[in-house]
Amino acid sequence: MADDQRDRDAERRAKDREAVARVLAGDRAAFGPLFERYAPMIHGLLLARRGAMNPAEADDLVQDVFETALEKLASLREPEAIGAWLAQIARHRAVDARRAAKRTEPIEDHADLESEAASPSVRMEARRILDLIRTLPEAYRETLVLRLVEGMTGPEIAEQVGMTSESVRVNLHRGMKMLKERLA
Amino acid sequence: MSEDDYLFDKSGKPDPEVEELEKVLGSARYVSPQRNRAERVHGRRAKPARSRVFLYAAPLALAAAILLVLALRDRLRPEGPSLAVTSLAGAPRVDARKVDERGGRLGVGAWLETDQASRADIELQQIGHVAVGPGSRVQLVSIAKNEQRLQLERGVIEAKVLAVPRLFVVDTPSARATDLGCAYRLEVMPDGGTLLRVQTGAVELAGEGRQSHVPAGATCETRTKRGPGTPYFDDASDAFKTALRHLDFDVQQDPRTLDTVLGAAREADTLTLWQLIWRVDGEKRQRVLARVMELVPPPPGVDLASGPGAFKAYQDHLMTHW
Repeated sequence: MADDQRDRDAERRAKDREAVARVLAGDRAAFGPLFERYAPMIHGLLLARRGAMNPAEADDLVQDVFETALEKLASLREPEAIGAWLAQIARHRAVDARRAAKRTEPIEDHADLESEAASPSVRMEARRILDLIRTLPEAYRETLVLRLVEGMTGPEIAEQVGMTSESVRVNLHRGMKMLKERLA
Repeated sequence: MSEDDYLFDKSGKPDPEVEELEKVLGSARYVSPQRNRAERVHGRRAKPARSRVFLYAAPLALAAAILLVLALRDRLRPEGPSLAVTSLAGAPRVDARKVDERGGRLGVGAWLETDQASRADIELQQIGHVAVGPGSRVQLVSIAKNEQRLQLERGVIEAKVLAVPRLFVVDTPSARATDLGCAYRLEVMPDGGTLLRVQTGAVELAGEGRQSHVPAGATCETRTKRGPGTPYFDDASDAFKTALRHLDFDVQQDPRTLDTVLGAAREADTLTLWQLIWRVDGEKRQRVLARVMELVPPPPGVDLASGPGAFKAYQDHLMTHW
């Protein structure tokens, strides 16, 4: 199973390398699959930041992060590490946004979707738990949000964000322990 | 095997507490713009279009029927690149051919029309969707590696595009809208003017020698032969918006109009004023710039007299107030 995961990771890295090369060669549409692949991870990292940010605001910033990435793509030295690179841009972008207390309007369509997918009480409970997760140390809250909100597995988190699987496992374990204490 | 396996990689026996958290927190999960559109169109997770085949036919006849349907579909499919079209309501048409529940294709040069009871969805290649409202007429102008272009002759569209700037362009009678990675609503009025409202990201609107940058939460109007007006935030005062409209589009200008715009402006309206600076000249330009600086002073160390770099730095600072 570990070998399967390694093979999948290697294949994904090769696809990322190829996509980056195509974008730099002028094929901007090749950026689309990179966006689809990494947007949930970016969204999760933005949601995990301290300070109130609702999913709609995080959606706006996801777009910002990828715009920045597209502008700066030529400066990426290791295309295989694009996930970790995007994660850094997202973290910086979240800090900038919090500093500027940027005005963003709720996205009406996303609010409609949330109401279709989850009842108000579920949404309120989700916000309460998200607020608690945000009180945890940074390493724990990021991995918890990526796992529990975005539905990524530990190996996927490790591969996309650029951590080892062991670190992700430890963060999830410790983060969950602290979250359970705060939920109790 | 460890007790954390389910938490780590969803293997092993599910942990009920983790499952409960996944269920609740999953409501905040990121949903891509394309999945948003597909799920709203069909009210469920989208399935690919399928041909209808009579399943109770004998196997050989079944195979022949399948081949016939595929051959007919290929004959009806436009030559060359095209975009998938889905009917959302009523009976939209592509070049007078009805788009049914199986969907259709919009080829280069073809027109998609909706009547007052129809709506349709156009799937852009890899980058998003365009919802076409009732009473609309839209043409696919071109598809290339670095650009997908539509022409909106009348009616309204809502576009949701992935974060790849300048890949999607819409021409209208009075302006060209270039997507900068966003979601927006664009309506062509009966007189050929347009109303653009940006929900996320930004759009660049250009025409008749004018250019407007329209960010999230802002609206921009255009008029034929005048091009785009100056964008404004939707929550600006009515007095501000009305005076701005006169300033942008009246041929004969009342000298008091600029006074009203400047007097009614708030800090956030520096979005409008900053773009207005480049549309007026002489003494008016100085007055607009002075009002911007009064509402949002330049940051320390930025001296606008020192050149373009200072203006860029000031613009970056202003953007944190928009």
